[in-house]
Amino acid sequence: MKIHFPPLQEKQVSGEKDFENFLNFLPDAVVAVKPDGRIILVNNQTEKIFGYGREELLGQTLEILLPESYRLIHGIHRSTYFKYPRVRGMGTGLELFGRKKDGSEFPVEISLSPFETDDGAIAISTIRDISDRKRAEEKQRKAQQKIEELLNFTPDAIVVINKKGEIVFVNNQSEKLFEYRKQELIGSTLGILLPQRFRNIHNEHQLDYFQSPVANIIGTSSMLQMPELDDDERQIMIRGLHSSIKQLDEIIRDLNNILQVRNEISEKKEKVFLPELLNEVKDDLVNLIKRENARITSSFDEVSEIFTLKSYLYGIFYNLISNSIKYGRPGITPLIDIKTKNENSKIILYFSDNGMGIDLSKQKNQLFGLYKKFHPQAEGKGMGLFMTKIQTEVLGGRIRIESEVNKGTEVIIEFDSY
Amino acid sequence: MKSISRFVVIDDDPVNNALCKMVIKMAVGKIDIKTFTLPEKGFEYIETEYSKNGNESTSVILLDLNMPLMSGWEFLERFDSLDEIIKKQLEIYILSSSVDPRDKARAGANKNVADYIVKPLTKEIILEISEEGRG
Repeated sequence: MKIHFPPLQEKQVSGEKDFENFLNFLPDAVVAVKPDGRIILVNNQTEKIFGYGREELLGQTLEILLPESYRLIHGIHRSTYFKYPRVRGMGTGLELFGRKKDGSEFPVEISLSPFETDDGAIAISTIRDISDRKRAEEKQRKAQQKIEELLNFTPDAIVVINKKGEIVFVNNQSEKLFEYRKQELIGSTLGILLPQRFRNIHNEHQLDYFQSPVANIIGTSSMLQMPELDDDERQIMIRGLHSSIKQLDEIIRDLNNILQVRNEISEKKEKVFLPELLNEVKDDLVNLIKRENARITSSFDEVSEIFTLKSYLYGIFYNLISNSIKYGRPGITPLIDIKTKNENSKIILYFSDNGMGIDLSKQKNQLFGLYKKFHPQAEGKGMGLFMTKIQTEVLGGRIRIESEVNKGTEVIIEFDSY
Repeated sequence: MKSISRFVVIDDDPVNNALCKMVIKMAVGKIDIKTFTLPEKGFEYIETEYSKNGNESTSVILLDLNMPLMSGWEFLERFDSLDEIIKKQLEIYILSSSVDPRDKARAGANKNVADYIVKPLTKEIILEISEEGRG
């Protein structure tokens, strides 16, 4: 098979070779076909993407590279194309697939260019494997779905508005709370939800936890553009910028954790040996434990193993222990004691500490809220108890807290033993 | 142009407070700025500092709303019960990241609140405050 390409401007003699080399450098598969559909040229990428050797393709019709289901119809399209040749994409708006030698199909994007040669018209078809892009799109779609799931999962009504103040998303709770259906809310302005009778129902500031680090990032980064800052001031602003970004990152991670709660429900229950679990948690918290010089004691004599979802129980241990250390009283060695009891066919876990404690009379109803934190200086954003409550409840357990300011906190978790 | 002698920033977020200090300095030059991450401490400071002398000049308080232990609303409640001598020396601006219209409405309804500022604080806002008072 020999084709004559129009001579390239500079090196006429080696023009053909150069052209082939050039084609082989392209990231896409390039296939040239005659009006009857026979393939007269392929580049290396075509072999790689479709898994055929060059010899297997040359002389075949282009349809060999397409799934059987649209081989016929493509034959018809091709004939039309040669009547009215022009540069165009194929199947704009349609999902196109290529078919490999092994029969597997993958998403592609195909464009066609007409080309005049000494031997008559040919069409050059460029085929791009868009599996990666499709995967990325799918990932993004899933991420969005996850966020929507999360928003439906929170106890509060959440309404997302765009810059114009139009509602673009509402969660299930919004429907219940505002007694509108989703379709009625989407596209209308936020004002629809703000008549007097709805005030004070929803006075949490969930979004504030995104908005404050973002405001800090905007503020500090615009300060950093001021030429009149001295070195010290610049350092302070850089540190502020850094810590705000870290804060935002943590919030996003936390959200991710909440989302995982939903996805892990399919995970298998297993026998979890508590002393071992505690050791794993201690290993993961080793820096915090060392820094605060925390001491952890435990007695698992009455119950030493629980049949449960390990990752959840791990999460519960992890959150409660790290909370106890983070909310220790300044200057006092954090002591944490964990014990289990078996009472009335119930497994009870006690986590007690000697930390700052919480004023339950003031904060009882907010105890398990998302992003509630009771101690301004401690690190963290108040996610721990919310997560712990969710995890406990998913495992069929109950959680309660006893605490006294400046004495300590005890978290009691009960599971039915089977 | 009124004379502002001091800014008092009350916010549990130290990054915001550092930012406020710098923005204020950049807007009006050298001026006394006190920042508090514990609203309780800020309140105590105001109570003692402003009870002694009926000063001619004004101090500006930049008050966050969403704080643990004592929220901005609680602060405002307690502020209202203070002596007139103290109150007339102070002008409170809410400085919050909340864009919730109900927060704005509630702040607007409070007679001790001069205006509501959405974070981040900028030089321009400080200039407005120090020139005529916003709103």
